[in-house]
Amino acid sequence: MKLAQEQLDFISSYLCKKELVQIDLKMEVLDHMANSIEKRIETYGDTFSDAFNAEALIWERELSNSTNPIIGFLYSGPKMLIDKCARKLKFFYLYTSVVALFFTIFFGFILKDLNSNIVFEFLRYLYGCVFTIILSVIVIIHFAIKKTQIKSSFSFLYKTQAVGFAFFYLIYNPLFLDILGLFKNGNFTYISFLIYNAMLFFLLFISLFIRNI
Amino acid sequence: MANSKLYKGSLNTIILKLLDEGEKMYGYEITQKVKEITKGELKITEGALYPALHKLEAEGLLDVEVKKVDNRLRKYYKLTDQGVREKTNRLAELEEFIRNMEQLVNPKWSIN
Repeated sequence: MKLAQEQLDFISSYLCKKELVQIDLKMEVLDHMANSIEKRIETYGDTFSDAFNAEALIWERELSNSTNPIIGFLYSGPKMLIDKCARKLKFFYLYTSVVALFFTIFFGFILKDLNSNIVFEFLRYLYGCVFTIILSVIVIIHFAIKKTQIKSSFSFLYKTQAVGFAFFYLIYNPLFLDILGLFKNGNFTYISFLIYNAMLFFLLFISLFIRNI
Repeated sequence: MANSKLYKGSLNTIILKLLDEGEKMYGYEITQKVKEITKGELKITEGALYPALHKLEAEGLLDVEVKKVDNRLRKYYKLTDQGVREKTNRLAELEEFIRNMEQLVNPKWSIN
């Protein structure tokens, strides 16, 4: 027996109540629940209400409200959404840290030996310009997502992370405020170089793997 | 029900194998197929299945197709070319693992 439209709408509103509104996850869970309910009705002769309650119990854990330190404790949502987003972020953080560290160690030695003010000035402008472009792209994508009004795992991840990252690209932008400074008190600072590289590679990885988010 | 922890590490390989046989499948269909083949011994939970499917999709091993079926959207998964190659590798690894486990659990003693 196939479920009627009203029964599908009932499942849909249940998922919305559980805050699973992201289209990519919601359609999958809705279809799974509907299939399972149909089978219960066919096999055991359950009523829709009984079959739905049994199915809701199975999904209770995955739909329960959850938070994750990687996403930030300010944001909560269904466990399956939070876990999916946290896994993605963890992947980006890991790759960014490893590549940025190697890049910093390798080029750091060269830059330290070079110890040239012209090169440091050039790098300040280079990182500054790239960070300004990234900041602009973050703002543009933010408004593009808002305009489409489509809710997905990606839009959730973006909503929870974009403001924080935009803030980083603004205050650590060497063109606006040279807080970190690659060259301070006559010394090349590895830690500033590492932070700049981490900020650079993080967005590079996201743009490379954006279709998989 | 069998100890699901024993199957956990092989879930991705099981999914790749099923998709290789079934061409394209959706989440619920995969759980039912596994239940049917193992005669109800192995039940893949929703909490394990979907993260595994999403991970394989992100790795480029699965392709996704969305179709409207019975008034709702259904997400079908199928193997990519890379997925077909990876399935062969992972199955070979799993077979090797099973052989080793057999040796450990049920060693054939011999007198030289």
